[in-house]
Amino acid sequence: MTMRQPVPTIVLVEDSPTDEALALRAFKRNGISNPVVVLRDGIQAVEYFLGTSGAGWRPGDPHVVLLDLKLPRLNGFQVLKRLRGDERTRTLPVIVLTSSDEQRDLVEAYRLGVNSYIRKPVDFAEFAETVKTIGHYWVILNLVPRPPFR
Amino acid sequence: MSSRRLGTGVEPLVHEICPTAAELELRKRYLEFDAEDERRLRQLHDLVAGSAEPVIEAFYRHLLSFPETSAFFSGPDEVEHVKRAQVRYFQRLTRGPHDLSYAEDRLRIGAVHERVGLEVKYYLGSYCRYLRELLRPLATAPLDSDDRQATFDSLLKVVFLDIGLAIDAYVLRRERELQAAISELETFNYSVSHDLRAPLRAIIGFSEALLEDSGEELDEEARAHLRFIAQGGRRMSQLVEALLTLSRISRAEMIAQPVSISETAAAVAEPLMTANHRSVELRIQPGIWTTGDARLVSVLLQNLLGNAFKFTSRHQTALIEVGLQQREGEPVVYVRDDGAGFDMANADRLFGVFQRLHPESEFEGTGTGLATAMRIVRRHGGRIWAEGALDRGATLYFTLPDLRVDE
Repeated sequence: MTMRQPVPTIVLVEDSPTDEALALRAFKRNGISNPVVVLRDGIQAVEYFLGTSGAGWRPGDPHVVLLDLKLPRLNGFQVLKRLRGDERTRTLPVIVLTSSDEQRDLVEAYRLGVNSYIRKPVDFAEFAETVKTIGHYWVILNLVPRPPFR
Repeated sequence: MSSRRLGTGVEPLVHEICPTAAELELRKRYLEFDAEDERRLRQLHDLVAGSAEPVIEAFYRHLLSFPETSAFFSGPDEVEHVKRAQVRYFQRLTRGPHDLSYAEDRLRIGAVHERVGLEVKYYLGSYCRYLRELLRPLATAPLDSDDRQATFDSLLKVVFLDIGLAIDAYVLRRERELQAAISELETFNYSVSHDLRAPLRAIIGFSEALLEDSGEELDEEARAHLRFIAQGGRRMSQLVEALLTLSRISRAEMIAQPVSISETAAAVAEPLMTANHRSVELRIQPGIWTTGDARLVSVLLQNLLGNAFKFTSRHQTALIEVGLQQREGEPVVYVRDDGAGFDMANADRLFGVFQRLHPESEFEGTGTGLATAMRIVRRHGGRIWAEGALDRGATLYFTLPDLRVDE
């Protein structure tokens, strides 16, 4: 018998309100109805996953992170480094979703252990298609290890 | 020239470019400058020590007689100050010791001169003067002829040691500036890549979203306006991408290896052939080789063949040729088409960025294709040029390293 994976929350770490609106619209249009949490900068992202307030993520909650690289306060690389450096978030699926396709960004992101690197297309139709593909692959198809204590 | 005014600020550079003890040792060994030279220069120093001031006086009369060099002084006070510094500089040439601290002092003075913008020819000119001023007393010094010849040699060696250091101060400083300019360019590109795309995404995205979501509530004119906004955004996006490509070509790492131009051209042309529903005859001379970066050579041919297909697209049939010919004894590759061509009067504009010789409505494109081609050819040390006539086709010629036909 296969257990259905619980519905993962999509965490969009994105400082641009217009990119956020475009992404949310694309989720909605493509029937991706998962809960979405939007975080505006790197500190918020680290707080959400590793903070002590208990308000954010708890180990074991299924999440997929869409991480921009150019963010205020802590940038995407710094966030990634913190997440990969902590036992609790070491295996959390993190996808970089950014405007840049500079080689040095790709190299650095993979070096820091990102699961996937996707360039945000400038074109509207391509952007919608990209978000749809991310949703289907990472949110619906992809399996992640369940925490051992469940 | 003023060490008082501008002597500060060069220390980090001096520290950075100062040779190591081993490097200085190597230079001296190469010039065959040894302890005996030190001793002979010291001996000469004792002979001429008293003449330093008149020498520098004479030198400054010369220097101030040129508007190019006298312009570096703000007034008589400054001249006096710099003269005193120069007396010390001149005396140290023969007094030595020619150790690391000496080398650092020479570099420092060189760096100060470079910084104020005194050209190296004037800087080196002063060494010619020093040499003449020192050779004269040497000629009449109470030395036997062997000693005189040996001291003459020592003097040449130390002057060339100094000139080497002076040129280093100039060259290394320029290298640093160039490096800084390159890294600024990198930062610029990086920023374009990150920051310029996001607002374009918003412009294109929201105008199209509006069309999709509320298009029916708008009249035809309003819908057309939204489409124009999106089109403008997409056009801008193409231009940004083209600029990024161009700058990546300029900084891409190059690996030289034998590259078959004929095979690369065939591979590049294949998708262009299948995308065209016209009758295009493509003739590629087999066996053309160069030594270059395979990826950049491919981008070069993509641009040239892409143009050939594009500018013949309004003809039902087209002939596109790639071959090698000898021009004034030099092998040259040509890419020829029989398409729209261009007016030779505009030939110099062809290779500029964003330069287009045909209206966008006739032939689409960003106007960076030939600029990209030119950068690739130049990075290989080659040349590229075009010949053509309006409506009679265009031929692009280029040279690359080691062009040959090798069946």
